[in-house]
Amino acid sequence: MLARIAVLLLAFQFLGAARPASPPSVPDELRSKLGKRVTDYSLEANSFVEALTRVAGEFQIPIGIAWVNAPAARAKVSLSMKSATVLELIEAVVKTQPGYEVSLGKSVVHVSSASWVPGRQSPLTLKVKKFEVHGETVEVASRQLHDLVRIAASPPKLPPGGGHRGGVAGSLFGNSDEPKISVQLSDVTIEDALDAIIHASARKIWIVTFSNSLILTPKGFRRTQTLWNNFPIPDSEQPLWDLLHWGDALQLTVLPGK
Amino acid sequence: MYQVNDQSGQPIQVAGLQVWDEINTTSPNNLGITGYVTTCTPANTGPCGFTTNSLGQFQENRLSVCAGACRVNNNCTTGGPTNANQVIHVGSYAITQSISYYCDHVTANGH
Repeated sequence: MLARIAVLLLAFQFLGAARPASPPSVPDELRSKLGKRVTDYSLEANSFVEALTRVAGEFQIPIGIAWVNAPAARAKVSLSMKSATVLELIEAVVKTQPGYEVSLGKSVVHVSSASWVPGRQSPLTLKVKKFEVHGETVEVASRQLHDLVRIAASPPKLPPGGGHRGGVAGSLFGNSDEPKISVQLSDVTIEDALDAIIHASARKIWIVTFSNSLILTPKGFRRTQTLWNNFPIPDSEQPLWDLLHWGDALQLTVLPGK
Repeated sequence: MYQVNDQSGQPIQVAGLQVWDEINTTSPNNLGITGYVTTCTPANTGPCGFTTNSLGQFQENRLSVCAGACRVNNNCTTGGPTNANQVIHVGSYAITQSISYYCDHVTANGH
């Protein structure tokens, strides 16, 4: 059928009225999901990150994963449990990787490793004074947050004399089915802001993929990658994150040979 | 919003076609644009997870510009255009449309 694609008709129009953001989930709701007991559960995945996204998708757990793209983290995961809670499943997956731990945020499960990426090197700990989006798509919200954090993480170099010459233009596609979201935050970390975005949107998983290289950005942050390609990410675009829906297939482009 | 159609103009109602874009300046470049931020990062690469919905549709969230030429003495001014070609990739196919960036608006294929 793809062979028949020949024409893309362009029709600018506004979508229908924006759907309201999801009602706030409460910690009790998350705890209830995490406490659900499952029996005879088995899982095989190409990496522990893929395993985590699959468990998160299957049991509808909002999750944020900050991982280092190290060879050990790209090992296949095979898990089989007779009886366990969903939280125990997540913990079992995480235990396949030394140094990683599970923690509970306000509405999101976090998986990270302070031994792999100390807090001072993680852009997730950067604070923003204000982050607001009103009735925007998740893609716009994510880009606005990215604009805030990349300026903080890698301040732009002004030309001699300090003038603002040149310029930047751009575009941003998105899925027309995504609900519009509103987020209003002040004095929060980037991790808090990502939690708020996935709390409000249909994307329920955020993933920050840190480079295995120990060479830091000029501001002292660990460099990040996207799951989607192996292109080097310039400092001016650092840091990056990927937002997934529950059930999205995890891209494995960052794996060797892909 | 964009609708993916076949060569006879019939909608291809298929979800999951990867969508991304590349933008390159043509001429003139009256706004002095020196770089682009496109759907995927780094710019002009893809795909990165944006797909058509079950109707074969996707949307342009925004076409934007930020240029020093649009501010004179700390005041906004009009100016432009900077013309560019936007190559839109859908699955393994691509089309090109013309974008014109002005300080106060952006047009695609003259609209």
